[in-house]
Amino acid sequence: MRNLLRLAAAALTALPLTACAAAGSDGPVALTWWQGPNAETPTREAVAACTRDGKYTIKVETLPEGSDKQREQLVRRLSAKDRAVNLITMDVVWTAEFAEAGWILPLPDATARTVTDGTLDGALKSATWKGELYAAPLLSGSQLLWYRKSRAAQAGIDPAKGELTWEQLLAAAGRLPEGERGVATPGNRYEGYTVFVNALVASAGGQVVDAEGRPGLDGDAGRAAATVIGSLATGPAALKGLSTLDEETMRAAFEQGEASFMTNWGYVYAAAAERAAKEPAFKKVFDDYGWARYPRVAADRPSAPPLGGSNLAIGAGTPEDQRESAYAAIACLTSAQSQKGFMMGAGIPAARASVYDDAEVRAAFPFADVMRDSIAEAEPRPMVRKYNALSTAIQTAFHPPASVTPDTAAKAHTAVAEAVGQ
Amino acid sequence: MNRIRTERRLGWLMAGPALLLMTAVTVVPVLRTVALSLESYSLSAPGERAFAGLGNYREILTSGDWWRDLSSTVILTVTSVGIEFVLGFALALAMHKVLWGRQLLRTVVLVPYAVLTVVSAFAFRFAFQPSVGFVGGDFNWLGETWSAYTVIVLTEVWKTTPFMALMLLAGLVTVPGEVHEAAKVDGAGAWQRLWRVTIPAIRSAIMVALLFRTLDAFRIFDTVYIQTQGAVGTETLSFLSYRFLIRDLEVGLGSAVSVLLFVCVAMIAAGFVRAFRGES
Repeated sequence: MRNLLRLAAAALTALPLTACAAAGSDGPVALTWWQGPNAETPTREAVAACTRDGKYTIKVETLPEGSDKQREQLVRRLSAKDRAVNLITMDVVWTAEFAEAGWILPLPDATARTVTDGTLDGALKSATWKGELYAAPLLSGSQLLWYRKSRAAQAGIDPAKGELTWEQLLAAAGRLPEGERGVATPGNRYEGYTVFVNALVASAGGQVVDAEGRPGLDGDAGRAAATVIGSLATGPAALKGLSTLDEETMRAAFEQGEASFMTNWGYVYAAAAERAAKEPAFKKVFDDYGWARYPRVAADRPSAPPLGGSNLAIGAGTPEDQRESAYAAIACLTSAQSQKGFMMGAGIPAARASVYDDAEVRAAFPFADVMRDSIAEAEPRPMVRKYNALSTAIQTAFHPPASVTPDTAAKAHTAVAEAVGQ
Repeated sequence: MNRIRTERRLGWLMAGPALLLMTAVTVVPVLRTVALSLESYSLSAPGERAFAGLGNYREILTSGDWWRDLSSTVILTVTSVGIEFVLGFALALAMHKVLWGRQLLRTVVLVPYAVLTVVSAFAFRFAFQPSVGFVGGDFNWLGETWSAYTVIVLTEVWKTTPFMALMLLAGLVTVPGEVHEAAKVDGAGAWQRLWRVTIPAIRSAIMVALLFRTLDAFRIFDTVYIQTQGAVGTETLSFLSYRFLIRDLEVGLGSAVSVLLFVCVAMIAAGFVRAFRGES
């Protein structure tokens, strides 16, 4: 019995000792990078390139699919000051919340200069909070209007000019035969639906919340946005599963042909190219892919496409002696070379302008110019600490899409005011 | 006298470790939740933490969300437990009476209960997906309130009827065969025997089965999370507490919802116990 106790005591004292020894040992600094599952190959290549000189190592921890779930996992670790959350791939909407809570570190000037140089403005805006740069833009992207060229011609419109309004688009789609007239937009109750609502409001010249955090939905812009959703959901262009559509189900409906138009991110092109290479029958569909600037809400005002992407930040739990390496790592991982790798490998547009001039990139992304201009004029989502509560309020007010009337805007205004505490 | 005291002490000693463990893993977290529910505390604004008294409760009970979620939780609980009880009773009777293939029947009936809730929730979601699901058709089941309720209740019923059947079967086997024989001799029909003999005899088993399932159903979360994410009016109370705690990081508000949920569950349990006592 006494021996057993002694053994247990020894084990208890030894445990923290070995843990200390591991952290304090010489050799390269061990960093951990937390990110989603969608870019495994380019991630591996970027890590290999950046750790070649052996100053630090990067272990990649894969988070679940979907921004909501990734955030859920990260915030629990961050609020507990986890020492092993060093590099974080952040959704563009997390910046305000994470910075305000002190979960991520502002970038020192030298790193900030490297990161800012040549990076598109919209992307930088999404990584900045209260005048300080908190993250390095890794990838960007905005939604485009994707369409089947033959069907658009059949319906008598030419979206390529980039001046199409939602009203014209819905009317044209309605002229197509049954089973082909779908216009796929987000419709599920999830963050992507907030993105849709925000883009419509911004395209109409309004703001979901202004720079001071005051809601601004109860006005002409909010009503115009609600009108678009209502007429889409109750008109002939509504897909059967509209109220549960997300990026992937939109892509499925568009590839299958039920939808002839969709608003979606750039990755759908790479995904279709990959499928066309494997299935000869799909090649014809892929060759029919067209792309254009996001549709307008008002005929006389350019659209404000949704802005997406991801930024690399450094967790505040990172021990002091590892921070230098972490700054060096994010500068390296977000270099033009690395971003090109992600763009080619995962189909997600880069945040640095120079990448779009690369010959290889232009060959693989024929829509590179539209995308770059679209990112430049894109409207970031509201930058507020309680973004998540705001997002839930918007989703609840505007869901299901078929229930939306112009009066929904006023209801959403009240809900948003309550959510952000104004 | 001395011996009784020694035995009592031995009893405490033997139950002690388990008691300590239970205190550590249940009582402490419950008390901590109660304490947190009295604070205005958001994980994303740790600097603004303050004592709020009953403010969180006031905010919740005056908001539409709580009452809407309470009614959807009650609807889901009552319908799913009701259907499960009827089906479970029929299955229990069948399992009890059938002579040929009894083992096989009991095994087959239990299969759904062995499936994880998350898995069955996904299975039903895929089954009801428009155009690709095997239920077929173009109708978007999870997109409308009444049909989403139908799918959720169906999932729950499919998954937990076996539990109900098993609990009732355990009651049925305790009814001595002679009682039935005697009733038969006295000229009671099958229906009368069911109402007058079987059901009164297994009343306690019925109570326990209903209590367990009601408490379980009232805390429904996984099926709703997987199938609708609380959309189209299917958000339940557990989901509300998840939304506040995990998604919005409002520790104070979320804890208050948890405490209120705990009170509801305690009230249901107390109600059942009282009803049970009153009858027996």
